[in-house]
Amino acid sequence: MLYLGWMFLSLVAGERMKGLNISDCYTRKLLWIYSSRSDEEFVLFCDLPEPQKSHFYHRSQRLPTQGPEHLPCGDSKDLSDVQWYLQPKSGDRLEEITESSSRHIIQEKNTLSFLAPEMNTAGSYICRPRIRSSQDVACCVKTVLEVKFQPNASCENPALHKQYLLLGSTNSIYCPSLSCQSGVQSPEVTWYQNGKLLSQQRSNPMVVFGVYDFHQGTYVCDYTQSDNTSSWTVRAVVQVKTIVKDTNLKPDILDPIQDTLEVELGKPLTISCRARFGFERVFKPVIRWYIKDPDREWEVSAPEAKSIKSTLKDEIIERDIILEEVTQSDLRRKFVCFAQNSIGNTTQSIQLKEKKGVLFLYLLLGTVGALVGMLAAGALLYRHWIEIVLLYRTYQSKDETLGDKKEFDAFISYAKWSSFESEAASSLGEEHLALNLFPEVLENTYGYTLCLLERDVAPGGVYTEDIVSIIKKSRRGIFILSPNYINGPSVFELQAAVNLALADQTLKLILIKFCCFQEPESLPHLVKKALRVLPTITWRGLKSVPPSSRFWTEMRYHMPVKNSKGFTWNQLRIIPGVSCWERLSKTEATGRSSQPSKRWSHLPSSPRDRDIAGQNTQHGSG
Amino acid sequence: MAAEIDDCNCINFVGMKFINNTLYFIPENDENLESDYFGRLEPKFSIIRNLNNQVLFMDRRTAIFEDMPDKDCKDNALQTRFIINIYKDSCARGMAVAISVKYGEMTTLSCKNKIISFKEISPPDSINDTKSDIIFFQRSVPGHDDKMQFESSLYEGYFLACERERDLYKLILKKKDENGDKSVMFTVESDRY
Repeated sequence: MLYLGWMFLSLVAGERMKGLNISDCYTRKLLWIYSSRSDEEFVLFCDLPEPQKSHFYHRSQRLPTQGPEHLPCGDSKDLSDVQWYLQPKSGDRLEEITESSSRHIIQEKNTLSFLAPEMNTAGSYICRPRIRSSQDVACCVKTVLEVKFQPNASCENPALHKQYLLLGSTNSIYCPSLSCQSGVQSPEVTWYQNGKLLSQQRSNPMVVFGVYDFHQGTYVCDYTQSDNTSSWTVRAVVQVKTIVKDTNLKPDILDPIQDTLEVELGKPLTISCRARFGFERVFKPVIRWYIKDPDREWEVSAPEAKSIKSTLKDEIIERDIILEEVTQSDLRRKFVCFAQNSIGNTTQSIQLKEKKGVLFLYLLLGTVGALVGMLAAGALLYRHWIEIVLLYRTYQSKDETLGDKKEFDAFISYAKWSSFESEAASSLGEEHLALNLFPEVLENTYGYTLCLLERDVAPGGVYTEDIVSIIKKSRRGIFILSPNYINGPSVFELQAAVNLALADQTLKLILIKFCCFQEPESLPHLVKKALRVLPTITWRGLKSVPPSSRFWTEMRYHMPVKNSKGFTWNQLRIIPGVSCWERLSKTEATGRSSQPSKRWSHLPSSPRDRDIAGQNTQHGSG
Repeated sequence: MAAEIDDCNCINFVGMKFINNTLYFIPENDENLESDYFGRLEPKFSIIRNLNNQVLFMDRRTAIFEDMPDKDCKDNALQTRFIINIYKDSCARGMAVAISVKYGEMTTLSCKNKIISFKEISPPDSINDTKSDIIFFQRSVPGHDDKMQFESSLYEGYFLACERERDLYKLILKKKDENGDKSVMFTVESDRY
């Protein structure tokens, strides 16, 4: 069954082939001379006679204008779609030439291209239209191709099969098969460009006046060589390319532009180098990556360079360098991209830098931490300023009390009990504070000398004069402020002290806020101002009673700075009695010793009436 | 290396419209979107010549090439001095230009319906389209940097050319001949005046 089918097929095929009477075809002879030096191509054209243009009658007869060798072809078909057949020299069988016939033979429209000469290239090639009617049996062209090998021994400089024309200039195309002819006259040459006949050109070489880009293509030059028996057409094929002139510039590195690159340690990195090279006919671009250590330099094996963009005038080539892991030593190296052409070379080096982000964070944290620390230190300092000063004072030997000719360290002023007022609890507290607590703490514990009007001043003098003189003899004035004080007569003491303090630099005033009070309008202006400006220590009731409380610490801060030796001695109270007597003997104002035992009293004192002079109250033994 | 999708190039659609059997999507307008357009830049004054050195000039709403000595060229400046308006192109295809001339009124060269004419308009500042009958792409001839070709943006493959018609050399729009066509090449000389 299969055999029958195959038989049938071959018969039909043979029938078709037989239908082709090749003897009726227009025959011509071509000679291909090749030398083994370069890739030489060859082409065969299927130049079937063109169909006549518009006619009024049916074209069935031969027109007289056509020569006897030109057989008519019907005009109803596409003459660019042709079928080629080969009748090899050896056998008789016609073979169809298809795409898979041979690697070296390519059919493009009606042109058959031979990419390289082969053993069995020579033969008869027949071409005819693929679609034809029965009357066009004779529409075919037969080309007898002869291939000859001729090593160019007779020529030093033959024309190449690949030629370049410089755009904008006037150049010539040389026919390779005629270049080595030493004949006197060069024969008439027929030129074709891309399959089209160039009827204007007849000579060798073919001159192109003003080369444009459309002059690029495949050129074929034919000339006739006749010997005694027959005439052959010698054909050669030239590939022409239009180019610009060679560049006179060095390559240009487009990327990288900057000298530094931020990277992350431990991560892979790819750096890409792109360079633009100008056009060169003999183009040998070089693009490489180098690593430069302080002491040596070496080339890196990088993946192959690839051409990114290729235009008429230049070409952009890229090459990457790949680092699998960025190490610390890479940060010290320089990576250099090197590009070179025949004019010169250019380089671009890159330094790797660690990403600033991490460093920046540390810096920021450090600054913030420092600021916070400073703020905390400032707050601490502010809070404990008094303690710090006191601490400083204990270790310094300066004593401001020397040489100022004052007797008392401080004078205490407080609201006196008035006969017109009933005993009020607050008044009791104030007096107790002034007459008992202050002496106990400041004199006994801390060794200051206090002056109390009732205790240390001899009675009988003028009140105002006494006050003034006491204040003048004191280094500090302590005023226990309360509504009673402010609204009562004792405020005169404050007023006097303020006036004196303005004159005397060594007198300083300390206010003690015993309890809240309202400033009366009747107060002198100066006193009002003083109340606002002078240092105020708040008495907080029972909390402030113990000598170690904040109240007493603040008091000490405002009290005069005394010699640390004496101070410590006083504080230790080694010979309390001695100190007492010593002080007493120094006082001027008191003619007679006034109630020394008072110092020793720890019991609350009963209110004394100042007006009752000479009254000697007996206190409990100390 | 696999291609990465760039987040910045995504467009969000906020609506849909169905018009004439076609579904249109309305994009979110976040100032990153720009319609295709031509935007006008600075104009240049030039004299256009063909390869035979004939000068192009406007005569009664047609464009003619004529041999003209320099003095005549200067005298007829209003007709020979063409204003090449360069436009910014949203899809870069070459230098987009509009050719206009001010002789009386401002007129602009148009290739509508593949016929060369002068429209009595001034070249607009912006054209919201990628094709226009007044916009041509001026490109230099490869290898000949002084010679220019003008391809129509409306009809691709069609170029301004000089063609002889009886005794006149007219400016026409034609499809460029692949085998080499010098009629589509011009020199553009910056006007000195």
